[in-house]
Amino acid sequence: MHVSTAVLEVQDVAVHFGGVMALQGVSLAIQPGEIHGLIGPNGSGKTTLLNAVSGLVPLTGGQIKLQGERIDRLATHVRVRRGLARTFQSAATFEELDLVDNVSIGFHKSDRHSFWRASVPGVHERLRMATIRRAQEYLDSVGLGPMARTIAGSLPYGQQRMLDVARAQAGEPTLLLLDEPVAGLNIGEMAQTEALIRRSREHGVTVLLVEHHMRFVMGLCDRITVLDFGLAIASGSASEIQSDPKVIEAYLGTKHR
Amino acid sequence: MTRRFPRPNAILQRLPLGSADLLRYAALIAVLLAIEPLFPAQYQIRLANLILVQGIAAIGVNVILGFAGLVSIALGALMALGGYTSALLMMRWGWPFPLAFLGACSLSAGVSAIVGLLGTRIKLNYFLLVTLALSQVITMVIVNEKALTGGPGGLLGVPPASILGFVVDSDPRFYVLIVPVFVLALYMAQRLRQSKAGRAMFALRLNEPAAQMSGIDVTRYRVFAMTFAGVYLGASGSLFAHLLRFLGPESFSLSLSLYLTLIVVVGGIGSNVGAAASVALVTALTQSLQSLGSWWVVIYGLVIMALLVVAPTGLAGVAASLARKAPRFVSGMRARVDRGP
Repeated sequence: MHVSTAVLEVQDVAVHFGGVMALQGVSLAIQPGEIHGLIGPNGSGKTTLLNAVSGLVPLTGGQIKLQGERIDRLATHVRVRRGLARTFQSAATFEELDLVDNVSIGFHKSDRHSFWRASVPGVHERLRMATIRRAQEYLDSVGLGPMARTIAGSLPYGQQRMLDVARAQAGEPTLLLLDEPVAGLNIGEMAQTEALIRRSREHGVTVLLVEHHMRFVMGLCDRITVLDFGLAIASGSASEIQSDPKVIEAYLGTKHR
Repeated sequence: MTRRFPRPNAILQRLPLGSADLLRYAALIAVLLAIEPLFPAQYQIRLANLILVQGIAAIGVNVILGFAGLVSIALGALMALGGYTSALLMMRWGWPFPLAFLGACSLSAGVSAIVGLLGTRIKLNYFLLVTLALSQVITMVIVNEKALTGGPGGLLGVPPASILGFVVDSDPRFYVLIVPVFVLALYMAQRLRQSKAGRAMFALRLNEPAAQMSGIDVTRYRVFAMTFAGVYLGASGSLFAHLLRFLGPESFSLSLSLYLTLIVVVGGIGSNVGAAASVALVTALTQSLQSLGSWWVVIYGLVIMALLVVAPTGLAGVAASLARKAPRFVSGMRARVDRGP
């Protein structure tokens, strides 16, 4: 395994909030095409790690590399330009806007429909149609195509989460971060989300996901890292994790043995 | 039954891309100009002029508040900057009106951009204080630089606007000038809303972390919104100065900023058309209440509060829900007619 080829490298990352040490030196590496799970008890630092990678919280120590280049000092939107995308724990939609606008915001960085072009008659209409067509494709891929002109806030929760995934996928990321993608979803929606994640991988996207639903994580992830009190206590395949005494002690309990 | 004539929509679709929309805006100019003879007196034309001038400012405020979600109270101050700049450039330095107008727009856009840039480096709540500070600075300069601005007594004898020898020295003439300018302002703001820049600004207001995670540069689009609105506020201030031909420190007080903010909320956050319609509605309301004597302010306040309780999404929200209900209402009526008595 060449460390230099990893899509994401987290090296000795620490995040402290005042006296609270949310992460105290976590390292992990994710290889291209991998679906990597991040599990652990509540408060173990999973979401903090996603926020650190996204640039939403500053690092106290350590470094983060995306495709071999350091990103830990870059602003969030610059990291996104380098190939990062993410969904949020509670569906992050732009609730006053329709689904087309929501997904177009996802491909903001490659959207050619700038204000200056939009102010030219003719050019505006052509670009607008192109944007709508492109957004429609992403909506179709998550099964929200028929609702393209609905206001996002009026969708039921499960569909808002799908929309969040569509928005993240529209950024055409190399690394997709998913924060509890199936929390609050029913079994059908969960299967749909799993299929979406697998399809992303087929398109060359590497995935890092935080999730509490163990059967989902064990069935989907190639490798799993377990966090406890801001430290990575184990890392490996689903079966390795399930038989690791430290993990059973800290998180899984004896049921999963 | 065969159709002898193509429907209007079919004609529009055959035209080159984009001309349908242009025709719509041209038609708006034509209609606004055509209704001018219907105004019963000069006074109503004056009111229409004021509404259109304020409408430009309201659209600008909608971009700051309704698009980007920034609460600014330097709105009146930026209008003052535009008004004094354009008046003084003509009076003291003899600039022709079009250049003075562009100078006013550029200066208030520049100042607005700087405030936006300062504002994004601090927490959003303190942004309000930065705009308050700017407001105070501009008012103080106007009051104290007596030699330049006329001080508290105001600036008398602001020259009329004139373009290519067309001197805009009466209300009907001003109306001919302001209508195309207003429609152009509306057009540009609508295009901003439909472009990726408009989407980015809405995204910032609705969910900032998700906007950042979509690759949106927060600073860039906040400054963009402030600059864009700066042009509109400067333009509005300049036109206001050349309409009234007088400027005083009170013309653009802090309460004008609050009024413009209220206008945008009544019109519906984020809606350009709503903001413009709101100016017309609120002006009509204040005019019709004037006859009540000093009680008008109380009733005005109550009506505005009632409006916000009944329609929290503003005029734009009401229009949208009517548009949703209207087809159902019509088809319901048709079904009843088909069923017969």
